Amino acid sequence: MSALLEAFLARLYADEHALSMFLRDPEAAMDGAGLVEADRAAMRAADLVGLRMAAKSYANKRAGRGKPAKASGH
Amino acid sequence: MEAAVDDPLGAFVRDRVAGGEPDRVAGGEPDRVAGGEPDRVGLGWRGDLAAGIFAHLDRIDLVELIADDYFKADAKTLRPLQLLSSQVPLTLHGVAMGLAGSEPVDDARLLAMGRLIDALKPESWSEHLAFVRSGGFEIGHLAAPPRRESNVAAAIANIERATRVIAAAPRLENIATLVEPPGSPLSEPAWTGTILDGAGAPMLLDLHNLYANARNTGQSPEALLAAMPLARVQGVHLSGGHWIDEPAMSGRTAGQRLLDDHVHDVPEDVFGLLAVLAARVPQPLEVIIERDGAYPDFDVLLGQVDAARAALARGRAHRHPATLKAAA
Amino acid sequence: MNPFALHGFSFLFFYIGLGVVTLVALRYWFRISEPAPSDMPRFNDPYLIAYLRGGEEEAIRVTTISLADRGLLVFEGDQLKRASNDRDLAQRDIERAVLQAFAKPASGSAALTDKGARRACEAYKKALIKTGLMAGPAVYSKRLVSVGVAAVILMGTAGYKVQLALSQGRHNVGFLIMLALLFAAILIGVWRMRRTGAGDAAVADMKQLFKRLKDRAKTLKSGGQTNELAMLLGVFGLTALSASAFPMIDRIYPTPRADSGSSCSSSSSCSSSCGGGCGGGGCGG
Repeated sequence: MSALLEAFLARLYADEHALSMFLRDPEAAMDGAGLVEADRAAMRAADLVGLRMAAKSYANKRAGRGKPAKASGH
Repeated sequence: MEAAVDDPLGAFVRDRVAGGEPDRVAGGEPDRVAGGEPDRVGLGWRGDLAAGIFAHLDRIDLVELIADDYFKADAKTLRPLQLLSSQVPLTLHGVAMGLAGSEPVDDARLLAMGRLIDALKPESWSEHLAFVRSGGFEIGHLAAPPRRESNVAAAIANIERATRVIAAAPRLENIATLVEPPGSPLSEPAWTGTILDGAGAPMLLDLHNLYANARNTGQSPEALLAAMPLARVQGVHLSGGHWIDEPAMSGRTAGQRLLDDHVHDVPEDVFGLLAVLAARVPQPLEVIIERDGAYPDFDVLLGQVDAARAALARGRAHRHPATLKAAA
Repeated sequence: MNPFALHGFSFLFFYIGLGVVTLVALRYWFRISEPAPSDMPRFNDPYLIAYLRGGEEEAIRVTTISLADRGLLVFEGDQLKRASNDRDLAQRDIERAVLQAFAKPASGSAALTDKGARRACEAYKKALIKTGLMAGPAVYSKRLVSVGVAAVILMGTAGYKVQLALSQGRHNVGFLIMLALLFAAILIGVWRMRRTGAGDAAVADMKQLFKRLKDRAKTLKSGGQTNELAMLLGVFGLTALSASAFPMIDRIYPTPRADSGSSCSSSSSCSSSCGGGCGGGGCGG
């Protein structure tokens, strides 16, 4: 349960397009992630401003280090 | 030898255990009794600060190295760091294991940390209570996972695994987050305390991270500090940050949030939290000031080292009665 | 194949190869046989580092520049003299000795031979010998055996070949004798090397640790960041600083210097010694 939500969050933090899709249509984005209802409810109640700010911060970090968003060996 | 090739982590652990390898670092249970050991204050090692650190070894008690920078270093590259360790006590700090993630910690990182510890013989090592990757996506930095029971169990399993491999428990650091992780029925202090108790691990308390999280969530920093598992704190991080604007989103007024960035001076409030911490705990504390860029004159950093010492002294002078009793 | 059957340049090439291999083996033997330092000295003194790297004159040079940068030595014409408020601010014996050397106006090079300044370096010498970073009497004695073996190999080979050549009526042995004398001189130099293998490693390691500071040496300003300046000079020498930012160095010690940073020492890897840390974009760690 936690792992799926974590993976969903990781995708939002690592992939700007995924975050945009989630902000535009949360339900559709969550449909594809296989989240259970409790996790879907958590994401509906999430601090969207904070999510955007966190994602931007991580993007800056990756840009500073030149790391790809997609993990190579995981 | 074949086993070593097939299972390098297993071979690494077996070598250390079979060889009667003593603990390379002073981890494990926090020292709950102040045995007269002094508090210590130091700086994060950065190449730009090398001259200042070397020239003021009499005022810097210890130095913290970012371990991940040297995971791929060969013996020749590590030799200068061994010279550094002959000059000042070292502590190693990992930034990308993701010990608080639901995914098992990467064997290669554990092996690399173990080898680095063997080479440099630091006094302690630390990592973050964070996840940095999941489901094939690399976040690129420390993120707060959902604070819930299922995640606690995974984090404890990761920490116990790391402790077995390294032969010493890591000090675990609270992270700063711009967003309260969705799906978090547990508060940050409760989640942190449950993991540390379950893993029997000490804590590295980053007071600026705590301060930023408190300010960003409308809590009192002092109250958040008091709720943390303070008896487990062995190390402390101090750093600075700056306020950033929230993005405009429909239906709400844009405010600001405090970003922990390590490129600003430690705020006075954070030194105040250090004094409060020193008043509340009996065990000696190791304080590291982190600075990652926009380096001021070294005198400014030394001034912050002195300010940390002064805060510790202030706190120790006003030690909480319960703390004095515990120390006795 | 019998090398002594070789003639002319063929034998000379063989002999040069033998000499190079012998010298390399000798250096390697020094490095593995000379004891590892029991207890490293504290490298918080830039003059100690300068002494280890370059000897007495280098330590005095770095001290003089540091004092001039701090305003404790001032120019009088092209000469230096002690400023009036000097004694209290001098922190180390060598600084006091160098200030004393400039009690009367003198050229920068005058301090290099000043007895008081050189005496102040004795403490560094003793500390570095004691910790095994510099060669002392015991190390020199021990080296003598291996240098002797190398000398027997090189001189013996040359001597036997000369004798053989002369007995066969060939007299073209001049180059061989010159080469033998050259190798003898090099052997003496190797025997007399100031630093031990551990001392060489310590200097290389300090250069690696300070590489980031050297890379931004151009940003250092005269009259400020004094500790950084002295440490930089201690580790890398006067060549590390830009002549345009520090014109006083050329006034005191006129030497040809490159403005840009020189390369790393041959024994250092020059790879990143950075602390990655956090950087922009927020840290949270």
